[in-house]
Amino acid sequence: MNNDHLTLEQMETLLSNPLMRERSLHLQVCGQCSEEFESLHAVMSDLRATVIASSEMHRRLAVMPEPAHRTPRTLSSLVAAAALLCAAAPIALHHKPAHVAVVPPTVQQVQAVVSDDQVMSDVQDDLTSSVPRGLLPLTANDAPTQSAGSISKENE
Amino acid sequence: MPQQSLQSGELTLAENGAERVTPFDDIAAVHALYEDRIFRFLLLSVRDRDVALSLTQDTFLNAWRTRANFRGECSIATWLMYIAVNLLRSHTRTESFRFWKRVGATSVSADDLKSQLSHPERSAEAKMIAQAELEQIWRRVEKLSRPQRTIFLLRFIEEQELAEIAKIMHMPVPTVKSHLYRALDHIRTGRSTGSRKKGKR
Repeated sequence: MNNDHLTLEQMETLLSNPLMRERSLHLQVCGQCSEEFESLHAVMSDLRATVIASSEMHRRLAVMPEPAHRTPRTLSSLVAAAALLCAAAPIALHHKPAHVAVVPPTVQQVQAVVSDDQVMSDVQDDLTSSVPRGLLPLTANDAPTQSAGSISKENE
Repeated sequence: MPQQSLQSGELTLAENGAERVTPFDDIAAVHALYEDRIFRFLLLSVRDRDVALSLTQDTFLNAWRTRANFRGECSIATWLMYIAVNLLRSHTRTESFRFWKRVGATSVSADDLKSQLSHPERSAEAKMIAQAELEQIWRRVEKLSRPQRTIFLLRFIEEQELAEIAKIMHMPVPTVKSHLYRALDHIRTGRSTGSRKKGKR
């Protein structure tokens, strides 16, 4: 029995350089290593031959793909643009001048407007008239008449 | 305008003419000689024939662009493999997710390999045994880690020397050997386990 079998390194060297097997004394005396080597060598040769044949078949079937890096970028930019639009739309709508509803003025508002107009017209009248309205009872036309009438009534 | 561009083109050619001539100047000839080999390596690595074809084209394009850097210190095949491995790394880094999703769709499968196994001189039984062994070993190769698998393929399929593989993989030779021996041990162990299982049956 030979317990010193081939190491992995020796086996690899023999597999990579099959011509060396004839110079390997160990293979000539060790049946176990020789059998393993022959088996590995055969299956490796098959592997190489079939891989080469298979890759030739795939080469014939292969087609140039679309540039892989462009599609995701385009897609992501589209998604980003859509997201931006979705985010911007509510803000734009929020800042848009709101729809002004025509509400009929209430009675109080109408009265306030009327009273304001009245005050303005009164002020205008005061400015244009020679005698202010507050002093009108004291004017010569009205005051003696009224006062004389009232005095006579009181005397009667 | 056309005259100006023609003149500038002539100037560029003249400048290139003064530079050192490399084998990659005749990129068509290099492509014809090495395309199958580069495609095969990329196909087995990336496991997608269309992507492998695209990366193969990129390999030759990069080889032509960087031809001035080629000093002739290694073989043309090693230089091309070096570029291919770099492209492969960047591809798998950027598209690792889709890479693993695509696996198996258009890659070399065990059935492909079995169908390609044709030895007329073998008996039907011997052929069946060879197919079973081939399938088994291919499944073991597929389970190798990425560096082990790449080094295994470069060594046993592309028949590259260890020093060349070290250059291609940016690794010291002892590291390459370590990966290679582990890969071989994995395959060898799997075969012996499989044989024992078959023997028990």
